[in-house]
Amino acid sequence: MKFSKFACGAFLLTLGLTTGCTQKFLEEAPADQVTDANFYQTQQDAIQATNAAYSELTKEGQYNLAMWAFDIMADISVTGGDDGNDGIEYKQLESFSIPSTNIVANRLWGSCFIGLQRANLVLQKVPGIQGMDGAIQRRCLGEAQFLRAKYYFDLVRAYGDVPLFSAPPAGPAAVNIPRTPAAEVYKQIESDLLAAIGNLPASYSGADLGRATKWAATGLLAKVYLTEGKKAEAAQQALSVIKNSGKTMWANYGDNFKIANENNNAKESLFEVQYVSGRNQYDRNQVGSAMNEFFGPRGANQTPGSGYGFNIPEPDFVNGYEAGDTRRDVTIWKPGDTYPDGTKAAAKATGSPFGYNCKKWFIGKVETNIWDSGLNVPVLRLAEMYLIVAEAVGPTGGADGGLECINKVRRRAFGLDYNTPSAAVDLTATSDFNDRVIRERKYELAFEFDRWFDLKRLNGTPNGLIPVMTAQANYLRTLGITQRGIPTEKNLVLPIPQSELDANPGLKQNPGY
Amino acid sequence: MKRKLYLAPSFRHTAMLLACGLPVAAGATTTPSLASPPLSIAAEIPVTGRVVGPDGAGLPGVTVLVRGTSIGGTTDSEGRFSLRAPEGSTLLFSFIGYIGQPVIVTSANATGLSVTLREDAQKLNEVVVVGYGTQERGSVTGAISSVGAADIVRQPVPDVTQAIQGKVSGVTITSNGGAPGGAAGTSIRIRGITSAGNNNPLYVVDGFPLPDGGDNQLNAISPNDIETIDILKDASATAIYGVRAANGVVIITTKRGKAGVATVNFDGYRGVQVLARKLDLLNATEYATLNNESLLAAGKPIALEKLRNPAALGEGTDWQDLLFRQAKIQNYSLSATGGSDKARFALSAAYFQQDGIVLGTNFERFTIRANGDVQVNKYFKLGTSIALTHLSDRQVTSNSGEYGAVQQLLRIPPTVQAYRPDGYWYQPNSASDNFTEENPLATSQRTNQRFTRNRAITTFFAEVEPVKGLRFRTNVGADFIFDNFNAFSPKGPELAGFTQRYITAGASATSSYAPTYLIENTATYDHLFGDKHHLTLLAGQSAQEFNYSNVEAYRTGYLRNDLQTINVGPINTLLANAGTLDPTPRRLASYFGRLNYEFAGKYIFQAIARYDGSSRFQPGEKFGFFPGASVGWRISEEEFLKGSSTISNAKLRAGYGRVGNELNAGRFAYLYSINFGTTYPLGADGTINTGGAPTRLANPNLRWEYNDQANIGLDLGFFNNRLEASIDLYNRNSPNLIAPVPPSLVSGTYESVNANAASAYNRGIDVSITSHNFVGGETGLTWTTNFNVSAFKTRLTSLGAGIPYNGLGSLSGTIVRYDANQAFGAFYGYQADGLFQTADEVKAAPTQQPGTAPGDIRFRDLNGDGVITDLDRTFIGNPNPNFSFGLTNTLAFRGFDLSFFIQGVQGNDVYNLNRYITESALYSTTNGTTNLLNRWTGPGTSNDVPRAINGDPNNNLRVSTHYIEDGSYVRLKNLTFGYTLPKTILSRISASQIRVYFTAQNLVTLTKYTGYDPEVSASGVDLGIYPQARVFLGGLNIGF
Repeated sequence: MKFSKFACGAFLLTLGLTTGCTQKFLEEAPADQVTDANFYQTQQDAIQATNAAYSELTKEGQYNLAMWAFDIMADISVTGGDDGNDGIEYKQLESFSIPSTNIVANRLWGSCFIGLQRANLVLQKVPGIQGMDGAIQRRCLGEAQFLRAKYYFDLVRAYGDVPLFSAPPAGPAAVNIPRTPAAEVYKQIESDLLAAIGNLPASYSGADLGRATKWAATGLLAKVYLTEGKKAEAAQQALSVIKNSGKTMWANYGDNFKIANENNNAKESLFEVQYVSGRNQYDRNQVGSAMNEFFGPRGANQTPGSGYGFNIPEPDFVNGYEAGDTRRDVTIWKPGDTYPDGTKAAAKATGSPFGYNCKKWFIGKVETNIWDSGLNVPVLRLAEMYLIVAEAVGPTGGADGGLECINKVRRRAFGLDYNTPSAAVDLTATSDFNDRVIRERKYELAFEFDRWFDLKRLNGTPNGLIPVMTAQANYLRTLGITQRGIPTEKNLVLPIPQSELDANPGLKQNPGY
Repeated sequence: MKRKLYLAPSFRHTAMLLACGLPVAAGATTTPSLASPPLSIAAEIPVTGRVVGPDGAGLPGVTVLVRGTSIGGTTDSEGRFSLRAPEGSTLLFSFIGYIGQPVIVTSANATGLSVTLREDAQKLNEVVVVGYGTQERGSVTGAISSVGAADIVRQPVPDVTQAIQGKVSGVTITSNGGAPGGAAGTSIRIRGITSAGNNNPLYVVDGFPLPDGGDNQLNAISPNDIETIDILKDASATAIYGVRAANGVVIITTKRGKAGVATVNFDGYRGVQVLARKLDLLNATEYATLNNESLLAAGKPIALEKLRNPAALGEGTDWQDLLFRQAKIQNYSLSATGGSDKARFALSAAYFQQDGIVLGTNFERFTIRANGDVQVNKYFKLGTSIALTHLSDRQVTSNSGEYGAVQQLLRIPPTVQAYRPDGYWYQPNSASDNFTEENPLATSQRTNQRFTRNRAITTFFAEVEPVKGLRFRTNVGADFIFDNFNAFSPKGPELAGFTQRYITAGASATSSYAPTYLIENTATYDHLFGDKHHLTLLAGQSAQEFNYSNVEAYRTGYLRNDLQTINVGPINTLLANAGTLDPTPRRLASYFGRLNYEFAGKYIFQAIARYDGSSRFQPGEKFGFFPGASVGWRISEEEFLKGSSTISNAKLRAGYGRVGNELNAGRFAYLYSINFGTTYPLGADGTINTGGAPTRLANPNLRWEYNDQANIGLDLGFFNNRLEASIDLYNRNSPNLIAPVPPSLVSGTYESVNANAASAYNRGIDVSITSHNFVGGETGLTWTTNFNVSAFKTRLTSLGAGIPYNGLGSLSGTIVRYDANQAFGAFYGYQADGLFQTADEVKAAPTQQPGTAPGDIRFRDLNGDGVITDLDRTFIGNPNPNFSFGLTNTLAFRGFDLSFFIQGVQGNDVYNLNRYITESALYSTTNGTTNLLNRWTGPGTSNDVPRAINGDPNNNLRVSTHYIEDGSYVRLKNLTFGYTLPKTILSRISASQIRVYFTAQNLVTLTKYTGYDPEVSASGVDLGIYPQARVFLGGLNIGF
């Protein structure tokens, strides 16, 4: 009996011990992954968190699919591609018959929010990181402010009112907030950019080239003000860039779109989406640009995958170039042009009845991977700053006047020294000056994904979306091109993606969709 | 299609019924007649007689009692008895392990009364393992089925789960393929499907709950070592295993020693396996004809000169004859058991070896087991179970999957030669064959690959019983799994004029280690109060830890083929991959208890509770409570039925409980995991900068899945349990199944979040009937029939915040989709509606494809928008059968024994993806079946087999009802004939038993299914299943 009592006691002791240990026994931390529990603690974490906010720029939700729509939805290009359902997401936009399941509308929405919430995480977490370099800390915050503004600017222009998050949602319950009026969103964008201007350095060197600078933020702010109709503020910010950034325009328009000229601190671009080749293939959600392949002449074998021929310039756009405008041959392929391998562009191709193709992002077969161009995309260029000033101040004289600003852009376009007046190409103070500026934007910034936004912000004027695109549809029909639709008021914004409405009861669809 | 294997369903059903036998008539001849109790006490008369067992031998020690009195005695060593009893009184004969029998004494039968007692088949006093203890069958209130050793060893299968297929009601067992060693796995679904994720039951071997190891968990255990398998089906029984019991519990008990004479047993069999069904594939002439027609229809030239004259091509290569072979199977097991009251042992060693019927596949396993028990003194005992397994196999790449050898053999044209002149596998190429896929002989044989697993499952227990009925037990154990996979793909020899496909040699090596540790302490108290109140109490604690790590390395560019290990390759090409090293253990900490109360052997109450904590969930939310309760009423113990032999057993059972499943929750879902793939290139050279951000929302609310299950059961025995039946009805609701819920993108994340969003139910009925048609005695014939049938219905009732999501996909697209109000695993696709016969029909029909033409499949325009699009897809099939059944007949007569076991399922759909392959012959250059000779060639020629046209412009190959077939089958799974040598011969060689037997496995399969084998894995999608072999073998069993 003695023995069994001992055993009995031992048993109870064991039971007691294991009970006491239970809590600890079940506590596990992942040893093979970083979580929010051990991230956002060092300078390296801060930089990585910031990089993640840039990451969306190269993807489908931005410059690798969604942005392409903004010329197709305007009077610059049609979808192209193959027959049938090829490129259906663009054909829906082109016809202004846009279901709420449209992929472009879905990707753009998602990507902007993914990017801006990552920026929100930086703004929430980085200020609390101890022991990091103060300059880097400020830079990270500035970059996040710039990127949040950039993503919200895309959102508010494309969808109107959108949910405004000034901090990341605390949990799943905090996600389902309603849409915030556009005016408030613009207020946030302005204040973010003003803060970013204060936080960001004027330039970078070495491994940091490509990060947002103070001048990127200033330039974007000018564009935001212009969009809001705040012309004086727009001109002020644009002139600040022109005068203080140290940026100069390339002598040749085409130099803006060359890999060799990327990230040149002293030159024209204020902010570029950074692409690099050799990392991926057939993937539009990595770091290679698919534009070379998708816009490459279809089946012409001028690109690694032989070319898909999307984003086809419309005939009136091509014919609208003034004689001598060097931008035409930088921007488009036309029949008879000589390809890098010596062959000639055909008179027509599937999806391109007049044989035109977008050339701006063409690099040919420099790279062997498919969908993998390393050509950066300038988001803001100094030339646009000149155009913003011109539009904002009108046909005024003087060095900072609208006339000189637009003429600088025009002279460069015609291959002239842009600082030397030219009677042949210079505009004068005519009553249609504003229309001329808008037209100049169209040709200067074609295939830089800006035209639909211009048409939208100018709605209510003859340069607005509805009159311009109604005329365009009618014009294309005379050429037998029928898929171009006629927009209505509802097309001034995109539909909120259906999957978002399903997942988020706080959202309401835009009227008409 | 093999017409001879197809029989009308009506015939199948008739065949089944015939095989059931008719127990009732047989019963009357051997059961003494029963009459009403005597009305008055009559004169006593002398009664003499003999009690024998089923084999006719006298039974000593049988109690003989005059009912209602204490008059009686026991039989002598010859089984004889003599006593005095009133005429007309009832004598009750009873003996432990046998069914008691009442006999009315008359003057006519009083002298030389012959009574045959039958072994108690229902085994009311049989012990059932219920988890942390045992119960007598009669006291069980939950739904528990058991399978004994005899049923297991009769079948020549490597994995014991295959041996219980069709043996127990409520358990659907589907082989995932016939690869040797059961490597493809066997799906066990207890009472249907509970979840879109893990549906595997918990396996408990000798008290050790095994880690979830997928579908071939048990092929490391020798079937010869198993004593019983008890399957806990309903929640009131399984709740003792709490958070791991949602899919049921399979408890395996291995053989242990018994005090007494040591016995040594040898069992060996050896046999041959053959392909049960060969498909009728096109020969070279037919293939060329079809291929030419297909190309010409598409406006393309005939691709190959050699195909221009089909008639000259003859039969061509028969790839099935080349790839399939007769393969051997063998098993040898030697065991010894015995011991004394103080110490007992069971030792065994077994070797199982199986070659696959597909060239290049084989399996072997060596197992050693040592089970020992020591009774140290009156209070203290301890014991161990140690099982070591080494298994090793060679499987073909994706055995039963797409691009596996079986599918490759269906693809390759008969016009392709198998070998080059130098004997190496010929490689088809576009110039000579217009076909570039791999030669299936090379697929199956080229790579030198071997998987080995070494596994040790060990447990040790110590038990103290300080006072009678109170026991403390500590159980510790460990399960170590060491896996290795090594492969070397040699470089092929060059030969002028022949394409060389295999130009680089490479090796890979994978090694994984998965140890699991367990410690459990239980206290049990068992006491009978006041003769009628039987109380059993259990309280316990358990802690278990699961680990897994895996490292992988591969290397290419080997310049020679003779040195094939990973460490001898080119120095600069070692590519290492961390594999899925998971340094974080998964842990469970649990407390549990059980209370059994039985009143007068009639009324039974049981309550179970388990409090389980899992490391998978966030602090504060780790624990869950899983209760179960059940009641039983043994109606046959009531006075009004007691002693009745018409209704010899009746028990009503009812239970309710809640059980869980934590395996689908994933790891650390409550934390935001930082995704470092959010990169961005920066700097002049575009250096990739690492970015870090969460891409999935954390879900602090994630919980284990649970289900609530109600069970009502009735156990019945008639005519002294000559006929026994057990019926269970259940309803299982799963209100919080884990489903992926896509987040709102405004959250800044895009990965779906696992959430307890979905709900489902399972309802079903399990019936099992056993009839002892003949029970031996004077005829010497015993014949027992067991029939069981299970039917269940499963529905996913809601997805909550989730959206329908896709399951299994394939070459032809998504096949399986999960959606509300559909069965789990339902097929999703287009509805095919015959073939277009004329151009007018095509024109009048909704637009399908630009190239749609007569002879193409017509698809239904379900949304009526005039165009056939993705939106016209719907749910088109259910892989879950209406019911499944098993029928076992066991006969014995004077040393001969015969058993046949039939098993089948009815009403399930199979997506025959093989036909995606074989019908591709109409559209490309692959081969097909002779069914394609009946293809559409003009209006009215066929409404089923489409036209031949290269390129498939109508996309006839899309996922549609066209490829869905009835998967019902009836299979003569096992036929065994044995002969046991008479004792007179045995005694001369000191053997206690010698039996020789012959077995045929999978002898006949009746089905309408046109593929190799209708049993195509639980998913119901035939991805090119490795067919189950037909096995013929002979065996010898010797006992000393």
